[in-house]
Amino acid sequence: MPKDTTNCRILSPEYESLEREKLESLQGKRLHDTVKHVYENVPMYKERMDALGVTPDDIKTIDDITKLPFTDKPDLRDHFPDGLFAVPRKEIVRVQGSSGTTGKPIVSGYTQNDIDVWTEMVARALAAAGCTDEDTIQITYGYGLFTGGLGVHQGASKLGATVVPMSSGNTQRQIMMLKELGATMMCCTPSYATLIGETIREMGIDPSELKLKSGCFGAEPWTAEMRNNLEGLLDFNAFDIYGLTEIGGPGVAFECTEKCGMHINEDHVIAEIINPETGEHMPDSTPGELVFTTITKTGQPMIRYRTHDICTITKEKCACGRTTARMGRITGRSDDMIIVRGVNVFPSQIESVIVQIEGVAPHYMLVVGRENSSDTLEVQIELKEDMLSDTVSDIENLRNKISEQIKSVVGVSAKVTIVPPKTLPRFEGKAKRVIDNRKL
Amino acid sequence: MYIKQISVFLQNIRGTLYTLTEFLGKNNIDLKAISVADTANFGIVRFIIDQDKIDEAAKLLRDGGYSVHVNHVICVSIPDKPSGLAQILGMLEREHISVEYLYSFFRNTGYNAVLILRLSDREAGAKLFKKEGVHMFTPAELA
Repeated sequence: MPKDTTNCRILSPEYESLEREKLESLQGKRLHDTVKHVYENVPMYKERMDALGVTPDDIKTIDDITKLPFTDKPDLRDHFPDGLFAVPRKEIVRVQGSSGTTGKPIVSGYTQNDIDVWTEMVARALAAAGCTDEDTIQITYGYGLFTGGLGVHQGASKLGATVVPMSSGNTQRQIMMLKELGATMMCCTPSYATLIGETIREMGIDPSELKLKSGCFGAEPWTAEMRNNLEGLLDFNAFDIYGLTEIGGPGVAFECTEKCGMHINEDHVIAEIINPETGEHMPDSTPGELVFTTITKTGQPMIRYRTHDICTITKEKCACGRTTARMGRITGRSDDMIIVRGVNVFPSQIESVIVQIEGVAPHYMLVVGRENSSDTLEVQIELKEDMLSDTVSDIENLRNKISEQIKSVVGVSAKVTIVPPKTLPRFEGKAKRVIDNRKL
Repeated sequence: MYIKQISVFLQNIRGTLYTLTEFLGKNNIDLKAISVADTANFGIVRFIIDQDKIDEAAKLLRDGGYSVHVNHVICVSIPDKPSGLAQILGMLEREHISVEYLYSFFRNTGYNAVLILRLSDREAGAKLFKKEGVHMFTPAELA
């Protein structure tokens, strides 16, 4: 069935369809300004550039970007919470965050300019999915430090849409509101959208009883099969959207109706694909690690930030008319991060919980799966020999304690399985503690 | 006065209990009583064997890769008739001693049953049984 794409449009053709030569010249200029700004205001950047003998004047075009040092998640952790702010605190109007690698969150500070830039990026994504002031959009992303809820909220408001800020959870209530308010769009993680779709079908509701025409789904990787399934369940158009808190949030890249990669908002960010081992650039359409540099943010600009997401980028012009580069689906990670129900989980976070609990050995495995469209996380932990007991309750109490701690530190519920001592694999080199059984 | 019990921690996976019993059989360890406590993902198998073979069996099991815990329980003799168990539990209840778990076996049908008890307060329980004249097995009696 043809999907309704009537209002799918290019919101800002002056940027989104700018000739590449002009776009790259604009990027070069903005890169220079951003580098100068961080060099003068963020000690970490100055120190690192000085160490390499690079000054802001050496950065004139986008090709000069390779002269700059990379940044990575540990830099945000080491400078937590505000060590990378490039403006006085009074100019910061918002902080958003996501999980870090060891339990401490990473945060990003936004000036009003940064909120406006982010809002524009999300608005472009929503406009590409057909959002106008005639639409009612049910936002089922979580609201809070997580950028999903507020990010989409701002973008939809900019377009004048009617926003229903449901936040996540409570599937029955979500469905009731979808029906009663007649939302034409919905945004959340693809797995939660699938759960809603399946529940709607189980309730015997035909999608024609709803008014949904499209939605933007992101915050976790998904496949073409998952999209086909979701579009079939809800008989609408499902678009992919990409973003990360460090760079701004959702809307860094988004799909158009061609659905052949996500357009990167290149007037606001420079994307590179590198070899994660050497840091060297990879040719067009060759998979590598995605690296972003923000070129319009002022509160907490990020220079050559390593996302650890593996994908390809192509700069070929898209049939939709946009000239911006397109990134393919995320096909993996260059580190051991996993995304569980939209939450970033690092094995090191789980480890930080385990080492503080008496009675278990620091050996563990994470098993990720998917049941009924929802991610499952199982944490297998070895019992210490001296914690062996003849009563079940001793071990159950330990299990509950670990579960609670993981939920509180990592932010997702996990099924904790206690296994006998010396049964989990031992690693000599790099530990492989994650088994991901999801078909992504 | 106390009896040594061996507990083995097993994952709740098909076949693990069989493998354990096969292992015990091969090593000529005779089970006098056994009980299995299970949860969704693990189980604890507790058993009583010849008391003079406890150390040897625990070592064999550990060497065989099993996680083993040895502790003391109380074994009492109770009449094999209605209210036999209730009588014993009534005594404990009056002294506010809780039963954490129990299991039982027969040595000769129709005579006395053997009850294996783990109590919230083992010493208080033993004192009580002594006072009430309940027969507690000695390790020698179970050899």
